[in-house]
Amino acid sequence: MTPLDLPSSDTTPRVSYDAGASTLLFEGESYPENVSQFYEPVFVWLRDFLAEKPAFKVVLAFSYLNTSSTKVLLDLLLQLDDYHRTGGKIEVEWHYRPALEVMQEAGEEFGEDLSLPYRLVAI
Amino acid sequence: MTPELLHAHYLAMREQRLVLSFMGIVTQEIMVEYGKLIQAQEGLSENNRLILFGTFIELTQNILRYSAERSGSSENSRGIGIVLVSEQDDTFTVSSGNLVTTRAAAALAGQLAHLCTLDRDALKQLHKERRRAGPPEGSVGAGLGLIEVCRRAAAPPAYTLLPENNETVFFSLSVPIAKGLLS
Repeated sequence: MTPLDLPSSDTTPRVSYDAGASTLLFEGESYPENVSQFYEPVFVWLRDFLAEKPAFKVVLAFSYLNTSSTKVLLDLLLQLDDYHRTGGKIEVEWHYRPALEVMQEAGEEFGEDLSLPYRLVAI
Repeated sequence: MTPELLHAHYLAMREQRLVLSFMGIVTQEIMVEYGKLIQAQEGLSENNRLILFGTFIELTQNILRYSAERSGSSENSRGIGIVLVSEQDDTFTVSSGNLVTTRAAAALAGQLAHLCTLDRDALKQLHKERRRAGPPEGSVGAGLGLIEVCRRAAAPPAYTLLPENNETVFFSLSVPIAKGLLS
């Protein structure tokens, strides 16, 4: 499997896969100038990864998402939802700080569009 | 600008309790640095500071992407515009202004008139639907951003569309954000 470890920048989150913990992590802010360009390698990696039928967890620990990023993230989550509905073992956690109600709300709204195991975790 | 005009500008901006202002070519780098100033702004709750930051980012990216006044070659061009953050007793306000084409102005007028009639629940619902479905036919592109901006505003945003000539219109938008502090 190809490793995935994109370091964070001012406008993009860290995106990394920890094979030991079977966890795909997104952490930080997301408001890149070109959102499709930033997330393209993640989608490519994910397509190859899902073909191996892994059991894994996704942790979404965003501290801010602009609207174009929420659109791309929903596309990604819907792919994971398809994986779940075709028998793939996956769970998703949305991590948020309780002081940031907007981020809690964002997490709840993604959950409403998904059927895969999904939970909000206050950090 | 003469020193006298600069002084008048300074006094007017001070009168408006200006927190920050920028006019010129909007780059991603400028947006990031101004964003850091907003993230360090005091006088509002942490949650509302994130709303203020998010509103600033959406409006600034709109200028960068969609302003009809541009600098640079078409592929890497940057929008030109003005963005301000000012403080009032119970709110901060993010204001942005830039030129748009007459055609885009018509679309914006229709969209904003509609958004300003919707309450927060209706805006939330519209945001969810639009996010799943993608932008509507003939959208100028900023669909989702404006919905989110209206949804988080303390009151419906004020906007103006002032024709400059046959081709361009000055579009300005002022969005109040609650401070969210317990009084």
